[in-house]
Amino acid sequence: MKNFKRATLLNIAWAAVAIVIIFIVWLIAYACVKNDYVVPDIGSTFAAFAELFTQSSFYSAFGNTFLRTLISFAVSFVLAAALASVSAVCRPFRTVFAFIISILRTLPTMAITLMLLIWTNPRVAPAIVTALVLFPMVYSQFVAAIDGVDPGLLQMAQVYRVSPREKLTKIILPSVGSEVGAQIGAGLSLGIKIMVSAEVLSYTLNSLGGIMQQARLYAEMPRFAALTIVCIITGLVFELLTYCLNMAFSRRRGGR
Amino acid sequence: MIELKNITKKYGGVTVYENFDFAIEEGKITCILGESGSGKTTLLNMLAGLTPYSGTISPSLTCSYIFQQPRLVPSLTVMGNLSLVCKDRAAIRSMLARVGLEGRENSYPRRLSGGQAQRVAIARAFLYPSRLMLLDEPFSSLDLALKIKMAQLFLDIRRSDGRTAVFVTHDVDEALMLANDIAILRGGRVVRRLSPEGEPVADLFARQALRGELISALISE
Repeated sequence: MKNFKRATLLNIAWAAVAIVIIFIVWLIAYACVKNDYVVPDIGSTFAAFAELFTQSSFYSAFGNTFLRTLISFAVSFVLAAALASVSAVCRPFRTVFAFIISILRTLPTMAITLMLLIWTNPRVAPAIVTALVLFPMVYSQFVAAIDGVDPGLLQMAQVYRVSPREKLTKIILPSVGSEVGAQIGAGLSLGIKIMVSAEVLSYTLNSLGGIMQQARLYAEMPRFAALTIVCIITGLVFELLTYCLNMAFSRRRGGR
Repeated sequence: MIELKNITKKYGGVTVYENFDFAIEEGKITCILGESGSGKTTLLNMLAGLTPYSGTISPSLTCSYIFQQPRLVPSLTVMGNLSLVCKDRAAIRSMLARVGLEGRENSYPRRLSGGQAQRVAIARAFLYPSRLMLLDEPFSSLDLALKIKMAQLFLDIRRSDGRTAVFVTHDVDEALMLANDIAILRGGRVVRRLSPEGEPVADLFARQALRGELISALISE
């Protein structure tokens, strides 16, 4: 426990060092470029960052982007879980689907966004793009997690004639859950990045991407940088929350 | 008598057993002694129905299996693991007391030592209402003192239970401590069969007269 606390403190210290390095690079870039329209200064960026939280439009935009990201992730997660389960029991399906996943992985996000904008609207298109990009990643995680279920435990369940329901709920799902659960933060973090990119391209009103686009059009560089920081922090919070949840579960089971 | 007749088992192009015949006396502990790769685990897996084979095993009995590793579900407590095979919580508590794990029912496997986890595996095997118990070198990863303690524990519970057991090992000491009947397996054939006198006892110095005979049968061509 003492070692664990020490390791956590050390991790926080290294994270602080990383942030300091980023700020130093930012300061150097600012000093070299000497153009507020290209690299905004730190002070005005943080002033713009603080100002964001006084605007109700920001909360509404953030809420919309956040909700859309969650919905896209949930859709890709449920779909990936269902199809990975089919893959686990049906070899031909798995082989055929592997090709589809490879194609989905190579889909050019920008092209798909533009195409979806023709078919749908700027609120729906980013959500579909995000789900499409996340799906292959989450599907692969599920397949790997299902493959990673300890064959020894499955053999034990077979010998002791454990009921299929108990086998699924007490052996397979907890094993898959802990593997996939550890990746949820990274998935959501990637999701918010894709969502904002697609919103920028789609000019989605009342969204983080939409107000970023506005900031760019009006050359409000500090506001633009502040919105970028919001995206970064949101992604980090997703990853941190997942990490903490996984640690809590792991500790409950005697992991640490 | 459990009879294996005309058993043939191949892994790819490698023949492990060909027209193999073997008989297991019910109510006894039969030990299959052989070097690594001699097909001991395959034999147990065939008895447990875990691997396909040609030939017949009759009668086909429900099995308990104590594996080399405890194979406990990490996300379940000791009680949760044992509840997979037995729904009677009082029986589980009583069995845990017998294996010296009283009060550990809410512990997760990661909180148990190797010996404690293997005791849970032994408890699971005895809690499951099987007629045949299979043991695959269950004490091989334990140190000598713990191995003797576990052998004693197994023999004590099994004595009151009376279940037929088939035990495979490459360890002559384990065979001497645990078996009523010892078969030496080599190249997919039983090359020697011995029946030590008296009941098995977890004492390394008992049955020492047989030790030399077993070792020479194991290493002779």
